[in-house]
Amino acid sequence: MRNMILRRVVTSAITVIGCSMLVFVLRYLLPGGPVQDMLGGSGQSGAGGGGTVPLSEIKAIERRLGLNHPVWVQYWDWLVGILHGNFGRSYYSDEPVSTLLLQRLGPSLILIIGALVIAVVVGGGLGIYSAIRRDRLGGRAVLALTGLGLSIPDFWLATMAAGVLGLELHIFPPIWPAGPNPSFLASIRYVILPVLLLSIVAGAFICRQLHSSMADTLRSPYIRTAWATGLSPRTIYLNYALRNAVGPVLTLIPLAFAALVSGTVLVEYIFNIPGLGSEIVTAVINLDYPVVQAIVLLLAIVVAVLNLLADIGLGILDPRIRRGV
Amino acid sequence: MSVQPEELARGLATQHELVPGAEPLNRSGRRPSRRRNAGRWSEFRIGARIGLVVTAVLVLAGIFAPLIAPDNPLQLFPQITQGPSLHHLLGTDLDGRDVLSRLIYGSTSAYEGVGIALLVTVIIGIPWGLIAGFGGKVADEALMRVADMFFSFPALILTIGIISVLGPSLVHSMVAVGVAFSPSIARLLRGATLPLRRADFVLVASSLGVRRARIVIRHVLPNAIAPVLVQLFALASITLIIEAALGFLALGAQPPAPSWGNDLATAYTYFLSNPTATIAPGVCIAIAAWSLSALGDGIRELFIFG
Repeated sequence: MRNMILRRVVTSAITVIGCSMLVFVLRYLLPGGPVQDMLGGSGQSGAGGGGTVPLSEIKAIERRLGLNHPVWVQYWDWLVGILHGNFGRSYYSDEPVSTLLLQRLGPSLILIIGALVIAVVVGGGLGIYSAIRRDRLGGRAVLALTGLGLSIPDFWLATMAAGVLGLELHIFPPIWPAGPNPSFLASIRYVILPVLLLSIVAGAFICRQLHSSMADTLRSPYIRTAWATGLSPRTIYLNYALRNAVGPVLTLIPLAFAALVSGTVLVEYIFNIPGLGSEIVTAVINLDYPVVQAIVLLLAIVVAVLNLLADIGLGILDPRIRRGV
Repeated sequence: MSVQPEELARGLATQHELVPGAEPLNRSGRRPSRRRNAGRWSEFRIGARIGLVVTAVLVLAGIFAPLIAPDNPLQLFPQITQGPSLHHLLGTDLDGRDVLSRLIYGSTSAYEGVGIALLVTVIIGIPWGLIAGFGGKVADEALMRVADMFFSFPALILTIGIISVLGPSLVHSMVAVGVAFSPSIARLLRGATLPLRRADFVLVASSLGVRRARIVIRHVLPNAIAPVLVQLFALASITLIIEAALGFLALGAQPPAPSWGNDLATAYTYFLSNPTATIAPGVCIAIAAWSLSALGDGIRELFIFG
């Protein structure tokens, strides 16, 4: 077990370092250079404004930002900075990126964790229910509904919900209030609808996976034996079947998380929530590359860590994987 | 390196089915197809037929938009944010443009986007997969680790990261989507080439002194491409939704060009005066995406059971 964990930790670390290189190098793949972009140069299609700024000024800004060093030196400085919690400064507002991210982290975390919990509890519950009742109307109805949930574009559903429930019927506030962030308790009112909307896709995904994994397990011979020995349905479903069925689904939670991150970009944009997702969109439009870099890297690290945890969890649940069979 | 018996067996098993010309010719001088009706219309299940027809209709509507659309998508009428009427079947938007005409023209941007993204995926993913599969152990290991890195980014975040370098526009955003999807095609193709490493026809070709690049392109690629084609159709539907999502975030197609995603985002701002303008683009996206995925499912069935 310890060997397996150690091996996984090392591969995860390599992946994370690779991701950081990828994120860093991406910037240098295009001609023009970052300062040209900052001054409204080559990045925007069609706009050629970079040429009007004198070269000496570009050089001066490059020196101030440390952009005159070779790429690997810049990468090293950047990496060391990140390990000290310093993500550099925003090109746009000149604030430290770390402060910006900390302000934006809270709303995104509430959204994603809330949606993940709902998706796992409701989606998982429905998955178990539909697997047990797979030949009945209830089970089929759940499957049909999840199919629908997966095929409707989530950002359209969110827009419609915000329009009908927020603007038309006034059941939920349609957008985040302007001004400073409300306290945690006050913000709950504003995140109920976004969290519910976010959880639909992830919940449907988890439900379908747990359904097929549980339905397979319920067909296996050891479950028939368990029925024959007269155990209670509760014991069979929860202690015998679920423990085996839940393994494959556990590895899907990082995937569900990644899907939620993508979803939260759209939902934050629709409901005007000041989280990481709406920040990355704004940063792209402002050509604020350090902020984009930091958010992309941060999310890749979170996904890598979740993958690691899911694999370790799977090892704990399933002795076959632990022993590397 | 010695040939593992089971690998050899797998190679033999696959080469019989896969080598062009290995099957006997039938009386009409053509190689018999593996199933009598394979590839025929009657083999296509009903959902896939509907998907094909709807996709064709939407693509044609986009191409012939100037003939079909009632108005110019950029023409500003004095009536703004009006509900549906006889003059404007789906009403008008914030600037007084005809919503229906914009939807019809918007189809072009959606399918153009899908085409660009899939093209980029193929251009990057196929060499990536082939080099990993046949370029030796070091290349394989390195290229697959890079693919793993791509997979640890949430797809939309990686796409947005690439757009931040290229700058927002329809073409740039869909190139970014193509780059983000290419490792999945590479991994799939590499997997499909693995059993061919020891296939007899590959061994024969290399012992006859055929260059490795030629073996890979002429002999390996045609025999490994089927799952990639199937996967491309499955990706098409996801790509269409991402195109709309990026348009929605104003990172894809740029206004005032008509696009379903971007029109949906602006329609929300006048939801109370003309809700049809919000409903309609979503319905278009959902129908178009469903059609592509139904088409993809049908094609996968043809390949797997054919």
